[in-house]
Amino acid sequence: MLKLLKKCGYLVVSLMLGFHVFAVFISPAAMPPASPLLMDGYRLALPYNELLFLNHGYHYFAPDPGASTLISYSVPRAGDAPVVGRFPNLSIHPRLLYHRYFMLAENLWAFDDETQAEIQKAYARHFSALHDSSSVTLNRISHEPSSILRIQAGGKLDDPETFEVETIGAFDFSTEASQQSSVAQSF
Amino acid sequence: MLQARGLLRSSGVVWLRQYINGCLEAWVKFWFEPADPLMLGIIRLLGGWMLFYNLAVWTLDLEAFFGDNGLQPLHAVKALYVNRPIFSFWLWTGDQYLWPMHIACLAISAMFCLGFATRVTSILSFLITISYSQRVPIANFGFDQILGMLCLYLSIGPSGAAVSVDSLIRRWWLGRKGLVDAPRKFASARVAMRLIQLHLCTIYFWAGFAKLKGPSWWTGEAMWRVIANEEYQTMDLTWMAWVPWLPFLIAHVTIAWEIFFIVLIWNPRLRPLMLLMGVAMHFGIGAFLGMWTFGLIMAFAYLAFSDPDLWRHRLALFVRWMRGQSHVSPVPAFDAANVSSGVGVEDLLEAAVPTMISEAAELPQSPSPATAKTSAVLNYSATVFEVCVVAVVASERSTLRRYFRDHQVPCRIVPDLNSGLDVVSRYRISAVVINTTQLVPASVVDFAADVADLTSLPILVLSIASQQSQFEGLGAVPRVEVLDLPASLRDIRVKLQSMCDSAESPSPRVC
Repeated sequence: MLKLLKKCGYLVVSLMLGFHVFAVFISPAAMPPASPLLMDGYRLALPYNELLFLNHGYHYFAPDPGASTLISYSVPRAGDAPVVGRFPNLSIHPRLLYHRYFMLAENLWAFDDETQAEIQKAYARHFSALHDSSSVTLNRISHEPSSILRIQAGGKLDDPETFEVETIGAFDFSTEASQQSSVAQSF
Repeated sequence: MLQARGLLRSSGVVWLRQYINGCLEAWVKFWFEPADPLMLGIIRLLGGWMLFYNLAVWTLDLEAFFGDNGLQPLHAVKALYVNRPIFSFWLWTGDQYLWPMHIACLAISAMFCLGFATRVTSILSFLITISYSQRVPIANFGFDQILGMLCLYLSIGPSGAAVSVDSLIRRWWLGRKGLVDAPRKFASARVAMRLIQLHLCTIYFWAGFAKLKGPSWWTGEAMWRVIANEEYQTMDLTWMAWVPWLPFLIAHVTIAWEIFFIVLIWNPRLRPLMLLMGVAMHFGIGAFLGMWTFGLIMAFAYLAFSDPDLWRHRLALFVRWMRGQSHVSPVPAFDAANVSSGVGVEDLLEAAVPTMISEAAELPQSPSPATAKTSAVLNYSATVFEVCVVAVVASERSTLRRYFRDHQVPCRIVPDLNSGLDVVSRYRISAVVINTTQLVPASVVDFAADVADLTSLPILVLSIASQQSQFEGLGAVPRVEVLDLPASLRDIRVKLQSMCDSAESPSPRVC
């Protein structure tokens, strides 16, 4: 009886291990382009992978290392030059925190439009509050790595031509703040 | 004709049955063969340190990242996770609990790193790791993925059984009873190690395969684009523009290494090379791209491929070296009162190398009366006894070593008789095996007599039949037996076991 139970135990644990290895393997396999078969397998393991934080593609610097993304902000000040900043910037220490900010700029564009809009608003609110302002303008900056030929020709990694700026939007929180204060007063 | 068919069918069935049984045995051995938890302990120590560091860095900007209205507002993240089975305790706690929870998490990760209450803190550390990562999905990168993976497997295996406060406490507890904590092996340690190994294989396989989708990895430019990324780089590598073949070569080697890692890492001869290349790559990522956390956590995971015996040896040397530097006298193995209960680095390492400590301590000159009796009774089960093997020929030494270790027989293999005598006099030896190839018979007889004078160990002499007459002198030495060569390794083991079984002294499990 004990032997049978032990065998059953081995069988159950083996099946669990088999499924786990399958789940770990199928998650990156289903990164697009992927066949419907791979996608079906991926969907089968998705709840398990999401629960255990295993739903990753492991596509480091793949398929092609692209331009890096930064976010710049400009906070207007009455009668003075606007405060301008961007993240990530090398003044952020330690390096792990720098990478966190780098990912905030880099990963945002992988999410859906609605989430992007929410997060951009949150970035704007954060940096306007940081500089005691109610409005801020955000820009997305793409920084293309200089080619070998450019460097050989005397170019630099931070040549202005390698940066491309795109406006995300201007955010004004003055109405939101006044609405909040009026709500607070009504209590 | 019919008989021939029946014979064929039955032989086919037998073959199939043997094949299936062989596969099942291989599966069970691969996943469940009990393993030394030392490497898990070291991975826990290093991975736990990374987790603690990660949380400590979050402390610098906690409210900005984890506040309800921070850079990733709670409602936006929750909206992202609707109808998805995501776990993060940060999704259910508000700003008022932010700091108390964070401090508690720091404390738990520190306990996990040191290996205190590891059964509980390892599970909590995994939950902490994924909770932080899931709460800030936009700020995640490879480091978080690997940290989550390691914490998951460390919570499955007995990661607190070595290099931990738990093991120190266990030693202290056993020491109070006059017992010595011998290294233990766990099937769950094997499972955890295998999972880490297979996960690493999966990561590299897909990382390499995904790169094949991009033209720049084929043209070799990809590595240059990584190097020339100003936001990543911490060191100016633009000089490579004048040696362009170098980044191209690195790109090609990276892809080949990543794709073939899943196969070549299982080859014992290629494993060191594969791991060395991996460590070089990840340290390069750390040094040149500033991602030391990612580079280190990947390198730490490689320890799952290491040989725990080798690491025990290295740690024992390290402990001895530290003792030599600090002039700390060794702790007597049987003197329970002297077993340290502190949590110093040296003590942590001692906990990792109990066998080596008993070697360094040797037998106590005068054990305290209170512990002498208990140790004499209990050391059969609690202490590791080893077989001393003398073999001059290197290939024979390695064959015997591999065979004995495969069969869980602790052994010390030496290349000459003098070293054998030294081992017998210094360590806890249960039996001696002498391979007489290239040895002078008279010196073998002298050696056996010397061993018999020192101890009452059984001695097994392996000699070819034509030499038998030259070993007549062995007849006068007690407890010596001669086994004719050629003999199978199994024959040697069985003979040794029968000699140990008939011995009065405690013996190891040989069969």
